[in-house]
Amino acid sequence: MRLERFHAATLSIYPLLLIVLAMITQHPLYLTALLVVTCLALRTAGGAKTFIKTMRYTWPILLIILLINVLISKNGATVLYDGPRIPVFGALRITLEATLFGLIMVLRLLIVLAACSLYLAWLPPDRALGLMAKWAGRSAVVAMLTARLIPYLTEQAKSVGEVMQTRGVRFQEGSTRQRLQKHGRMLNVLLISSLEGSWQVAEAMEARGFGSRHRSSYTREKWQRNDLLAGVAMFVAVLAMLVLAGAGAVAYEFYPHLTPLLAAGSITWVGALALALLLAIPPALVQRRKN
Amino acid sequence: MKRKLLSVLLILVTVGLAWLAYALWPSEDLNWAVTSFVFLLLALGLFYLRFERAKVSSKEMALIASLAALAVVGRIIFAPFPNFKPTSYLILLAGYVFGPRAGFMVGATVAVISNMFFGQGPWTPWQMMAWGLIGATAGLYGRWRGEKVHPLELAVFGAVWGFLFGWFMNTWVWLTTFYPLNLTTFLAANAASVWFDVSHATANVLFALLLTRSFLPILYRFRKKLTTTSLEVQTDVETKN
Repeated sequence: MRLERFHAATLSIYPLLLIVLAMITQHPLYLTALLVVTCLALRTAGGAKTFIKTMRYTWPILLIILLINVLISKNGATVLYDGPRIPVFGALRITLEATLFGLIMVLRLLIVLAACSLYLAWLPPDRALGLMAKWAGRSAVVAMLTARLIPYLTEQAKSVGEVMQTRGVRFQEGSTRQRLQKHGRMLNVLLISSLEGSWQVAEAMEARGFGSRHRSSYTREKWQRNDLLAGVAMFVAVLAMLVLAGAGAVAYEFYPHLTPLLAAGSITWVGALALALLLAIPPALVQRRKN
Repeated sequence: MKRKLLSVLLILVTVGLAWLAYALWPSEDLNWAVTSFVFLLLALGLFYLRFERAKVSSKEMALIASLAALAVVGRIIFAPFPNFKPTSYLILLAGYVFGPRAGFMVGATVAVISNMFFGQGPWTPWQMMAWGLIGATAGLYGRWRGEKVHPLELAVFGAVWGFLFGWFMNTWVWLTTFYPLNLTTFLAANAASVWFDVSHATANVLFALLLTRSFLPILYRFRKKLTTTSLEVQTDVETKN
């Protein structure tokens, strides 16, 4: 697997960097560049599927954001539609600026969602927890134990339900309150058995010497040449963003009038291109075949 | 002492950063999306640091994991009731009985692990914080009220948190994607999710009224088991006097 050639830290910092950069700028060119890079990165590890799956239940949120921005904001100067007064919203006035602002904000959230999918695609849960164990050992053990207990408790819940059914409990019958109560009783049994179980887990941990001395740690994660290259690329990208922000190239105002797309001159598009190229280096390194 | 110093230092750094952010970008120029995100990560780090530095026994760790797993599985058990999930109520109860530290960890762990099954996203850290805060505040409340709490009190507590949870989750979307940031847009952002918040609060109230009387004694019994201390075995008894 190509992702094995990278340290888990590199793989987790890159999506985070994309998210933070998307939050820093609201310039359409820069956000488009970021989206393109994020989608390119998603392609390297088959994360596009996760992204589409996420979009299936997040699109209403994006739609709501667009609608609220269009309907509520009254700061735009170019009126597209002047409607009647509505009790809660006030005068209904749709402006070009508010519509574009809403669309750009949807673009911004798309980048954030895609970067999260990328994080999941690049870093499987066990590697993420392994990285966490390096910094926060106890919390990682708690998280791992929880993840391990869930399938076990689900199985137990099933058998508790079956036992209750053989004793004449009909889960589907009765009023909502009665049905909730029946399921509550099931949860009650599960609570007791899971708490009893936790004592056994703790005893097993102690028996294996947990907490008796400094914990020994073993990790497969190694810093490699690829990490250095990706790290340098990300660092330079951050520097470039700071320089561009200093030059006023990444700023973009929507209200009351849209600023011209290239308000700061050609440095705007050159900067966006340079940033995209720099940020494309880590996914390109992932994609690269071993020679 | 060293632990406290580190926590104080982290809080000071956070306050310093907030001041710096205000000083550099006064009023509307401040990028709230980034600022709130950084503060969230710092606050989560602080809670986790406290947990890492505390003397937590293996029993407490296993207990937190069990309660968190139960809160996640509760979602599956109550699958026939799409709007009623006992997750928040179980976190609340865990915090109430076992204290703020355990309550926060149960809440935060539930968010991380349940999203492994139901879908991770930018909402995960906010969910960690929101559920963690339910557990932590319930822990403080539990310290104050003790064992003889009426289910109705927990119902009110749960109802308030049902709404606070929703508002907290909406805040980041509001800060990141709305302009201008004022009360109108905040209300509009929250109005979109008002039915989720109402059903969340209702679920908390219902579960508090239905389950507290049977669940609370069980948890307190286990807390007593948790706080038993093992004594040193005296090998050579000196009975000279």
